[in-house]
Amino acid sequence: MILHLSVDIFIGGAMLGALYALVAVGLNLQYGVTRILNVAHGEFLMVGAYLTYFCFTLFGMNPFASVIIVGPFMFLIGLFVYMLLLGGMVRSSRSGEELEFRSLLLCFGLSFVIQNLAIVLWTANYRGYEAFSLGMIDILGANFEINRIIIALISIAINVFLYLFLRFTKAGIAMRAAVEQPDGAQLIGINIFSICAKSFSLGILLAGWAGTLISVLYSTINPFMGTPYTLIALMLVILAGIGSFKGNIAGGFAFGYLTYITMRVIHPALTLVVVYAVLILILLIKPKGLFAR
Amino acid sequence: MSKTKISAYLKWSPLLAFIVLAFAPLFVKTYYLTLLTSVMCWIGLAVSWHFFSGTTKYISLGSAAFFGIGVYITAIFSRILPLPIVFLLAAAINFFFAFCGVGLVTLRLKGIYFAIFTFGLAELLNNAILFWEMQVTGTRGRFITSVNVYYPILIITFVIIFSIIILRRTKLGLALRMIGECEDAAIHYGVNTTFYKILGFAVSSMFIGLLGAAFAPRWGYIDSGMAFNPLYSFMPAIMTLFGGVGTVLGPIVGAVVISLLEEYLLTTFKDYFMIILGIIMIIVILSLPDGMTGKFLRKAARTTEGRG
Repeated sequence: MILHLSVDIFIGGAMLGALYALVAVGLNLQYGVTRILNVAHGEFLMVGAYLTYFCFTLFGMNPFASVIIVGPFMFLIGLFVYMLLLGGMVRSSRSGEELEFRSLLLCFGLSFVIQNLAIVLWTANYRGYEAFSLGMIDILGANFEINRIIIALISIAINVFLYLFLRFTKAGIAMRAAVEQPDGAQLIGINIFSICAKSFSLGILLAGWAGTLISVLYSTINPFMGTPYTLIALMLVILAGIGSFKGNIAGGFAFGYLTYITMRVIHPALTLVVVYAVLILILLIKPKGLFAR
Repeated sequence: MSKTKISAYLKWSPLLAFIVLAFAPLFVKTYYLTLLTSVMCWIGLAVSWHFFSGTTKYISLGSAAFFGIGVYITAIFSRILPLPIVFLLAAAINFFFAFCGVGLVTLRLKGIYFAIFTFGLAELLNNAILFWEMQVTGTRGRFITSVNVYYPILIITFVIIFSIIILRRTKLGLALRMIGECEDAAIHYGVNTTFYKILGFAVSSMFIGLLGAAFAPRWGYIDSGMAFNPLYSFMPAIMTLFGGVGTVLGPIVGAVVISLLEEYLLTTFKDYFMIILGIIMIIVILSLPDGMTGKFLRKAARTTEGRG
């Protein structure tokens, strides 16, 4: 019994953690580079989920394959939003603080628009789709859906690719430079505006992919599904420290274990309470996040 | 000459507004009275929010936490105690909660961390109360004896506005303004910034809680989702931004315009209301960085400068 539970917690928490890390990594990248706290993150995630749904129902596309469509599409949406709304604000804001505040409220307005547009276009009903189910697997007496394991592995793979991208490509290195020293980056000839636009769009793309995976995981989608993930992503960014990639992964897993243990051992309804309480505690001890430099 | 006369009259305009509003129930239809009540409540919220967050630039997204506490205090105590005492109790509890529970430990946080912390606080209370009600008492929400809240809200809103106008001229108000302009300079100047930040936050939260307590009897039934609705956190911020930061007038104008707009959109374009509201919000944030009154005040300042 104890063995079952501990295996269950060990693997279940890790699977949740991998997903959380993916949900938050886009927001962390966006905020780290552009200083725009995109509180519409969950709404973009929801759009990604709907795109996956339509790819499946209209064209019979495998949800995992639909990332090829969802990715570029979300990237373009991100680019559009940045060019149309945020770029001008970046130029007209007089200080970093002002930009943070104004962009926060703007993204809040944006989340209204996206969510309610989704309600008008696609109705507020839950839509379910059984993409595929590979059944259950038994690991040392604890049962897991194979779907979930695949999703966790894909989340980890996306995170690894992102890490390699940030580490070894020119654009990725420029992004990291922009996180660490925005002024210095400009001095050595990095076009900050273009890097900000790319990072923002990349964040939206990652949100869309997270939406794809989440829609497969729970096999239902609705226009309100994104909001809890916005909160998770926000908390993870705070927990991890802004612009810290490793912190994001570690924080994601810590969060995953925390919620999973609360769910299994204490009470499912208490998950959010425990999560917030821990977040507040961490902020009290380390006001700039656990992994802040 | 004539200008000083006008400003002398303007000084009395709040009193005039109060008298007009006090007699409004005799002439106005119930619908407009209800509308007036919510507009005044929003004015109170925006002005209270602006007193701390607008002035110091420590953006709090936790107004809903204090509003909700006020609502729940009314829900719990309104059957045992008379309403005015309940309101005082709500004000006191909110003040101490904000001062000891939140302020002392959290105002070390800056910028976005503070915003998210306060937002998390409202959600924490919401979920904790929901859990308590579902699991421990086995209920959802509470009933409140429904009362017309026009006069309580009217009086409390005016009390808040006048207290804040006075407080802005005291040491507290000046210290908060200095923190907003340049916190380091304030520290060097010998201002005990932490103390004034906590005090300012507590005063602002007290007013917000007071409004929550006074507004609660209007509903008749409340649950944690209504009491801690995140809209109460975001709307005061948006209204203040819309109206303009830096004066008491800004939040008032913003609250009036946005809440009337909301009412209009909600009644005419029910399905598209949130979309339109969101688009308007985006446009305002993009095109009016200083809010409506900001542009006006700057123009006024420029003309007087030119004359002088």
